[in-house]
Amino acid sequence: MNERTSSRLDLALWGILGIAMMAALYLALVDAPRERTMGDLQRIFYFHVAAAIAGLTAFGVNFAASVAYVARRERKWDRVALCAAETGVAFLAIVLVTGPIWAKPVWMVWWTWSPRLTSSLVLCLLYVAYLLVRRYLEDPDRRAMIAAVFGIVAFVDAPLVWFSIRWWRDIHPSPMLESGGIDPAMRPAFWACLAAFELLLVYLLRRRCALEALEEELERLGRLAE
Amino acid sequence: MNTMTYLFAANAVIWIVLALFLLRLHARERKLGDEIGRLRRLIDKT
Amino acid sequence: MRRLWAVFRKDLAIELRTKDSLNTMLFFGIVVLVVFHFALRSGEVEARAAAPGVLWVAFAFAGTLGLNRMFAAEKENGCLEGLMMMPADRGVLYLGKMLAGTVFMLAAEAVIFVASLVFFNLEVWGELPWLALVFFVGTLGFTAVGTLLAAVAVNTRMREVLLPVILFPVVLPVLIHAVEATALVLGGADRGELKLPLAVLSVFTVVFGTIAYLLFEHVLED
Repeated sequence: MNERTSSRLDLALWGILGIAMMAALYLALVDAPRERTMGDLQRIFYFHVAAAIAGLTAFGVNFAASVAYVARRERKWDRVALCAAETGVAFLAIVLVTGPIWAKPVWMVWWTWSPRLTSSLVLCLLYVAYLLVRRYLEDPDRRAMIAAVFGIVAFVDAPLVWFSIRWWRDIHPSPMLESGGIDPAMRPAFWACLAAFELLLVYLLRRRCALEALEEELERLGRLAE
Repeated sequence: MNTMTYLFAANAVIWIVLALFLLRLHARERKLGDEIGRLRRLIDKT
Repeated sequence: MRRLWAVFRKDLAIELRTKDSLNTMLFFGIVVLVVFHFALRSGEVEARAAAPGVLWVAFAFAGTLGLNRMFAAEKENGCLEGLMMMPADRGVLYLGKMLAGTVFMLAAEAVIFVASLVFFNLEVWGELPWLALVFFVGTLGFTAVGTLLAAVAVNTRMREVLLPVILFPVVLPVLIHAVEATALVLGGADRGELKLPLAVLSVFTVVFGTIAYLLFEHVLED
């Protein structure tokens, strides 16, 4: 892709993202009906869940890129994996902060060791560990390979963490999505938020990868200048 | 605190996190761009 | 198979000659038990309830120490490069190291466990075979992924310091089920209830054993 079409695409993406975000905000905060027991508080849910799903998507991207790197050994996959991990951690940070803010008035505590909360936390820790591993490896090729191995381990571990923690008592409002128990009137807001956050993820990933490409360009020029 | 405060706090957190992430990206992008420009000029000169 | 045995025996021989890391593991495990006694401010009544968790924390810390040592020493004296010239699949190297690590950990666990019997005033004679089974399966799960991540950690700038940070989140499912299973045995629960945790531990071992077997060469590669 040449530079001009790329930047045009970015601009288009930026525009669509802006519109989607506005629409999602409106639907979630104004248009969606007020929940019966939790009141307006429930409106946190739309962004909370959307961020969680976007974060999981990012970790999925990290896994796919890690596998691709091990198979192909092309630097671009390493870049994608790094960017996906960072973005995913940012989304998970949103989840982990909005979760307690929601839990406090509803459950009267900031934190419960409920399976979903705990798994999100462990997932976040796994990918922070991933970023730490990267940070302490200097040689780019070794870093890419070892990080890819760890990325694969982390992603395979995630469902195991989830099921392990699930044997414990669960007070999280979990069946809401799986059983389709979410009120039809709330669905537009939910899907709009989800779409907006996934778009945001794509946008952030692209920006972050472009940055990483710049970094490599700088390294190359630096070597040239010497 | 009433529910509105919590709703406000949650939204504030979401947007602050996202804004920080974007700002950091932007700052690094600009710094790298400057650096690359400087190096390019250096190389062209020699 | 013969090469696997050779790697395994080499690690064992080194250890038996110096007993460096085994002694450290044992001592560290016991220190953890003592520290936990004060941290939990436990009287004898709660001891039986606290024991599974405390035991596995001690095992995990001791295991981390042992796994680290297994790679750090070889990194220092260049033995790892020599091992990589071995005319065999690197996966074999992984299996040999993993088995050696498991044996060390089990040896350390045995002593730590006896110490805990004394400290926590436990009477478990009838349950010993079951406890041994739980310890064995749990330890396999721990070393299956621990050996791979120890090789990752030793390659970083932080060396050994990094291992607990990257290993504990990954190995959390093992710890959860091992603690649950140990609690079930100590609580005198029906043996049928052990099936689930033991199955999960085995699945974990097989899944991560396979991944590590396949990817180990990429971690070592220079």
